[in-house]
Amino acid sequence: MEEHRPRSPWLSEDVWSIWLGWAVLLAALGATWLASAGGEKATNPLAPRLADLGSWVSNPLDAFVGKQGENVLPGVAGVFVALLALFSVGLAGMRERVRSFPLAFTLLFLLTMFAYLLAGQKVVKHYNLEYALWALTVGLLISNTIGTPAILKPAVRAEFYIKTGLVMFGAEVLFHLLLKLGPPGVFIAWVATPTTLILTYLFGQKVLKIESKSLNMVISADMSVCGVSAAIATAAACKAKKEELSLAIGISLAFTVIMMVVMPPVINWLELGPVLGGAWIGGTIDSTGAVAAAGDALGETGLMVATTVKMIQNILIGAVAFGVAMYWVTCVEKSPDGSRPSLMEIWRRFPKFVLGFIAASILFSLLSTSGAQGEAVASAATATSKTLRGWCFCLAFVSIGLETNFRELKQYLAGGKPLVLYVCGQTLNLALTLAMAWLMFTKVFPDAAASLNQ
Amino acid sequence: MRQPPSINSAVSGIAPISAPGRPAPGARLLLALVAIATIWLVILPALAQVSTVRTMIDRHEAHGVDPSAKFYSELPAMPMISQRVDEIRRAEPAAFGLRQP
Repeated sequence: MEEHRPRSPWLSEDVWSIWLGWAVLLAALGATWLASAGGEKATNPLAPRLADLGSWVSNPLDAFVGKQGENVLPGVAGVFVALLALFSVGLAGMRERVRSFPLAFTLLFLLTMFAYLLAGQKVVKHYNLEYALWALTVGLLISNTIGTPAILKPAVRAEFYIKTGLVMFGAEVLFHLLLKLGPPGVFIAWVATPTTLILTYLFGQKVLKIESKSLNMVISADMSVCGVSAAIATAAACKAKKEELSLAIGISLAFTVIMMVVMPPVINWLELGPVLGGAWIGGTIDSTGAVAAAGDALGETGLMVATTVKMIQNILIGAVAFGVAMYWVTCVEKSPDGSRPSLMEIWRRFPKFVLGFIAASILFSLLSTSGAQGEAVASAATATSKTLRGWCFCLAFVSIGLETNFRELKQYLAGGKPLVLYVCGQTLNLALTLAMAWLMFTKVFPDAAASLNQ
Repeated sequence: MRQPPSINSAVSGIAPISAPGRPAPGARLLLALVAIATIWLVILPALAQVSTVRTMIDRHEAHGVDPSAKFYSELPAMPMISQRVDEIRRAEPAAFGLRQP
């Protein structure tokens, strides 16, 4: 995402998003460690103090009741206080005005709650219409009717929320999960997927000649890796415009709903079986939740294979974010004279928050593989960051909606190129993933398919 | 003399967008809110009672499937699935191209 002010790197959003993200991760780790010392079970005392809104069918007030019948309002208030404190410290650290921030943030948080409420309706939720869509809608409705009120503006900081959320998100990207299914999983998720990403990006540049390289990259990544989360990470890594991220997510969500409904009957009709069909679903449908829903339609084995392949593919997000950031600063953002940038220049341009994201991923991967206790502590600690990063992303999407308008979005759809890119890329993805899954589970490792089928 | 807001400032959400012949900005927002209320409080709850939709929701909830999950860590069923995959892989590592531990 673009940053507006050239400033000292120590006063930048990139650096402060690392401090804030890591403050949350270390606080959660420390609290979990202390609370679990001497006990058999790892417990995170901070986790119950933070909550998401629940789901509902006909009465929106049901969203304030948790799965165990508890009131989630104190938890939501906890999220509000934690994020208000975090981002106020961040703004103060960046030497920006903090005085008008609390009121603006309160209003933005209420809009974010409204978006969560819309996303929590069960029909909406079970058709994979995620909060990102409703958060954008809420923001767009305001900015395209009455205009974004000036009182809200100090809290409209989409990039800051996204980068901070991404640093916390790193704790969930655990590299050891890569070998969950052994080589078959690696080939399906880590060979077919990057190949699709690169070929789709090249198709967008060379054949479709899409003007914006960042739009091309964000669509290619969200289509080939894992939908909204990959779009957020890639957009931040390649400094895409907010409208490009909105557009990529809109296209991805629309096609995800279609694929989630259509793929299971097609797999049954082709008689691919739950292992091959599950792997195909896991490698191709963008969103993780939609993969689970489509895999579930194939039965228990289908659900297991589809979600495991998707989980392995999810981990790719760290490598993609780092790779895209490196590619962008070395190859796309050319020096004024067209020469290759020096190492210092690469470092200056590199989106530093990506390093915070990768470092969180490495620390939590090491902790998770350090034994049963380490794995339990890492898992309990991420409960805190998982809730907070979800709210950060939702705040970011409301902010993006508040800064965007329909006319700006329309210009990116000119000639329908983004749609053509998505459809062609997804077609390649479907063919390549099916071919790889077929090769792995019927020719190279047929016993693996037999074991999973039992 | 004070200039009216340019189209650029209007489309950037700096000022409300108003044009001749279109409802006032406040009225448009109100219309949108009424549409949202109708969809979310009337249409979607009615859809949730349709037997195929209700069956799908019940099945997802019973199996720990949250279709709105954005990452594997948000899936309620994932810890159980992960454990099951570990058991299968440990039982026959050679089938997955892995060595015996």
